[in-house]
Amino acid sequence: MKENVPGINTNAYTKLISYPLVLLMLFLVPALNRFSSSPILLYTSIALTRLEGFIVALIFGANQFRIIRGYWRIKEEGEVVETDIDDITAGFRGDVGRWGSNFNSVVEDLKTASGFD
Amino acid sequence: MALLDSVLDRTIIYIINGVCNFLSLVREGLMIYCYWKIPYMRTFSLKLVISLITSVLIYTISNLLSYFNSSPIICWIEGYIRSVGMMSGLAWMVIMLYVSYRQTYRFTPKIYKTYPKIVLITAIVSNIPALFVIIASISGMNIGFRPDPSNDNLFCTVQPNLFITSSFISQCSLLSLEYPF
Repeated sequence: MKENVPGINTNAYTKLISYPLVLLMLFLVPALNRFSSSPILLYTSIALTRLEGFIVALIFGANQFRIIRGYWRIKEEGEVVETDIDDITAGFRGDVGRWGSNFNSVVEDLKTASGFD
Repeated sequence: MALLDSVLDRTIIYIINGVCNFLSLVREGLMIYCYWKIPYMRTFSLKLVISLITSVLIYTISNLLSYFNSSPIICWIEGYIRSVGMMSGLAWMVIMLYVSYRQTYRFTPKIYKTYPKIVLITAIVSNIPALFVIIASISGMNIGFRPDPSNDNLFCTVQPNLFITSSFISQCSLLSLEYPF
């Protein structure tokens, strides 16, 4: 998707969608635990729910490391670093996203291609 | 339900709880520390992420309180914090998804100005269930923050779990009897 549509950042989408999926897993295993007497399932459900913070930080933490790395570059070279998450709140638009340009022109192209005005 | 029958099993749960919470606590603490330390991180998007992390941190603290919940007061505090942490975590995720949807389809350059309002709404929403439990308990209903039998009574949550659902269903049944159409 990233290759085909330059205005949209697939990494950001992946991050955003992955957390609800993790939450689903975190709720699903304890729910299964209520219907089973297996201690292993109980241990797994407790471990998963307690690791929620760690998993969330792993999903979104990559941006943080990029910023910390960029922070030192800003000091040395004046480089400004934006993140995938910035792309999310900026609406995946090229003027503020990291992937260059033209979210609007992609939409226009799609409209033209589909014959929709 | 999985009821554990030996001291060893309870010890395993306590160890799992401790190790996993420690890992979460360290990672959450590192993220929040970096947020305050590095000014370039104070963007609207990372504010949302850090808010989510703070919610999960609240949940982690409630799990750590489970080591001291033999006292009913600590059990109530643990249950309250657990409820608030879970609700606010869910709320922040919904907000992140909504912001991304909204910005994609109707771009607002000054969306960062809404952050204080979002924080206020999330704080109110995430406290409502726990406050409801307290008010219901004070008014004499059989509900409160007590040890959860589904986790072998090790962690305090809202008990009974089905109270809200059953009371809602019974209220609906009564209403449907009163107003059949």
